[in-house]
Amino acid sequence: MNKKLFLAVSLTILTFLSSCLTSLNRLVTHSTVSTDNRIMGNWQFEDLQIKIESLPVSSFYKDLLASVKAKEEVKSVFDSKEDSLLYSNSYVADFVRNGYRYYMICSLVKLGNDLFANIEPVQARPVNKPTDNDGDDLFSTGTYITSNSIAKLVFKGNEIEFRFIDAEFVREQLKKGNLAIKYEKDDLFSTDLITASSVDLQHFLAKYGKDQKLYNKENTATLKKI
Amino acid sequence: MFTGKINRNNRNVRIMQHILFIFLVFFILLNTFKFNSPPAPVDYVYTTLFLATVLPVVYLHLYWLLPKLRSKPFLVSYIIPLALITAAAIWVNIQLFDHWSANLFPGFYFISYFTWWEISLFFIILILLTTLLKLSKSWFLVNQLQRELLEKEKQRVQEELKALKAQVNPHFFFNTLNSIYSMSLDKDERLPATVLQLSELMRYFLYQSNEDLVPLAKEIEVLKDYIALQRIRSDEKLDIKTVIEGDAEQQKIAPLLLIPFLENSFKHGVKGDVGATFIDLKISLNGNSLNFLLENNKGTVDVVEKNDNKGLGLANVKRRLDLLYPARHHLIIQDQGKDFIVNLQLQL
Amino acid sequence: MKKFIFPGALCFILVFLNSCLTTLHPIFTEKDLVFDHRLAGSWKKTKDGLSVSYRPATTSDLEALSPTLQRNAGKFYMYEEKDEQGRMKKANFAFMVKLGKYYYLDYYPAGVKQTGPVDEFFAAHYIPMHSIYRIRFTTNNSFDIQQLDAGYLENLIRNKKIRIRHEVTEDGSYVITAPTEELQKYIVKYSDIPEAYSNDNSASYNKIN
Repeated sequence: MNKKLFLAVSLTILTFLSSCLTSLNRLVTHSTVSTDNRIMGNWQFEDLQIKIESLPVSSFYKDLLASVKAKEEVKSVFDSKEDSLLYSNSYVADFVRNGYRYYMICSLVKLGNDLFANIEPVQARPVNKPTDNDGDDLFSTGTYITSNSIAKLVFKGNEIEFRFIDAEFVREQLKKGNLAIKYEKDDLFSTDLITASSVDLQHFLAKYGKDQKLYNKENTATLKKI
Repeated sequence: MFTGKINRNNRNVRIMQHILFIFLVFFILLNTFKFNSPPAPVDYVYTTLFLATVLPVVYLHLYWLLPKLRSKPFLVSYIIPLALITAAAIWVNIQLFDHWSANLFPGFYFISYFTWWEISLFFIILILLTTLLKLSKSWFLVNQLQRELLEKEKQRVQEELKALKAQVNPHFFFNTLNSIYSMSLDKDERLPATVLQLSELMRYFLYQSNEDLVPLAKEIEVLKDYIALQRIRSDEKLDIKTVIEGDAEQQKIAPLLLIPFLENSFKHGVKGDVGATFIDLKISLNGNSLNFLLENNKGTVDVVEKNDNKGLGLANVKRRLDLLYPARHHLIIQDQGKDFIVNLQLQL
Repeated sequence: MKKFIFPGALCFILVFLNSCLTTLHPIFTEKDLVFDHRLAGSWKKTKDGLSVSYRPATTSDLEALSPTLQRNAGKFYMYEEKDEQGRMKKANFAFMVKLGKYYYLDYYPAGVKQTGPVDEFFAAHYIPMHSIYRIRFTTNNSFDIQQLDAGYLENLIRNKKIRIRHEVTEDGSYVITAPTEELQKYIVKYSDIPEAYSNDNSASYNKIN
């Protein structure tokens, strides 16, 4: 792979990273997970087609289970009982972009009268290599941890609005000292991450989830049902 | 007006102490709650709100509940009210941080980062700390009052002792002066020595008796001078024996402690006139143990004393012994019909 | 952070794979950077013949990094790992720093391997971490490298023998969030303890050119 592409990719990640603020811990836990099947279906977002299914019945899960059982003689694909509880009530979204199929888990939680989604990445594999056994993985070139993004879900007829938390607003409030939440920031590498616990994240959104300042149009993705 | 000014000053000092304490607690909590260094504006708001829920409970406890600590029933008057107000304040704390502060402080974003149990611990620790401070303050106050009381008691005792010392019968001096007057008329050759002895005696009574302790040798010398002066009055018929054993040079005694016994023995020995009487005085010293043995005849008629002075000398010395030598003396006064015996054992 | 049991190389979650210590913050500040010319060049791992190269980073490599790092371009390396076919397998920035008696390398991911731009939204969920290695030159043409062991540090944390800033996620994984100063203190303090290093990621390299 040539250096220019590396650079382009680096730029892509790091530019977007600057506008996206993610959380180390999930918003949703196995004891607070909620379901709302209105999220399931095929959706259009800009040039993307996104398919959202319940995880236990998704093709992703079936493929995974098959390969795990064949190779490792384990009974479950999940690491723990808690994960099993959580993911059994979660959804998987998949979409294809530039020759890669991306899978992301979407877990829901109801806080007050609002529904929130926790989105975490699971897998990205080449479309032409569905089983991807040869280590040709995205993000295997370096060391990463995965993090979670949080969005408020608003259903409007045949549309869902994913209102992501406005990262710039949060960063600004943190910089001014008006926001108290566990947060890590490294200035040298422009890395930042919310490290608040799941419980604290839930309390925070239960209290401020209705505050319109937390959201803006640029960070809202409207999915239209196909 | 002056008392009012003192009270106002004390109140101002107390208010300053409270303000200082609150600032100290605020500073400690601020540094506990802050997410980063230095504390951000949201940390100040957080700490202020937290204190606003804790302080009312602390002061209610200090000024309303703590005085009821000894009331009965303890459970109803202290424990239950304390638990109730603390629980209510914790509930307010949680509601404030999780809900109400969004409207009260719209530009700030925070939640309660503690569980109800952790919040309870903050409350318990502050209540305990303030209680300990108040009790220590009370303890110091009690100690101070005790010290003042002891000081006052000491002063009272010293005043009493002073007064008791001053109760030495002045009649002896008047009688001796009368004798001196008679001697001067008779041009008695014993006059100069007598005047000198009286002078020494008066000097002792006036000056040295103001001291807490005097050399025992001096006290014994005074006894001898007293005997010598009494002898003048009694003429040759008085049989006085004086035996001093042991080394009195190194010991000290409270002044005018032994004279009253001697005075008493002369009073009892007078029978209208000093007749065939005897006084046997024996003072023996063994280390710091003094044994004072005084035996005299008991007259058929006591020296007439005014009613208000009757018995005052012995009562006086007994009281002084109790004050100055508590549990260090043993006094036996025996009225054996014809004889009167005083035996005083004293640890000097 | 491992949520699913993925067979073989399907697991994308690389934190604590082989118990290697990774940190959110770097182990260096701008003034700590050191450049040793001996490291620049191509190297072969003695164990498995893997070819790697260290070259001085150029400004074009650093466009996505902060201005502070950009102005220090000549003070750190691009680490590249290629497979037998010469395809790039791994690319990291490598920053050398001296802490105490030893030299250390802080590896930071430089990009992803893909034939086209990665999806921004997906990529935003991946937080790059710093991997820490101790490097010792045995000769001018060979060096040993040992990675700090995450399990050892986790043990110290669990047994409350160390105070170092960290987070524990819902699934029990440790993420070291200690700032640079704390990390440096830890590294210096435990630099001579063999158990603090991972045997799995020890390697020796010989220079090719």
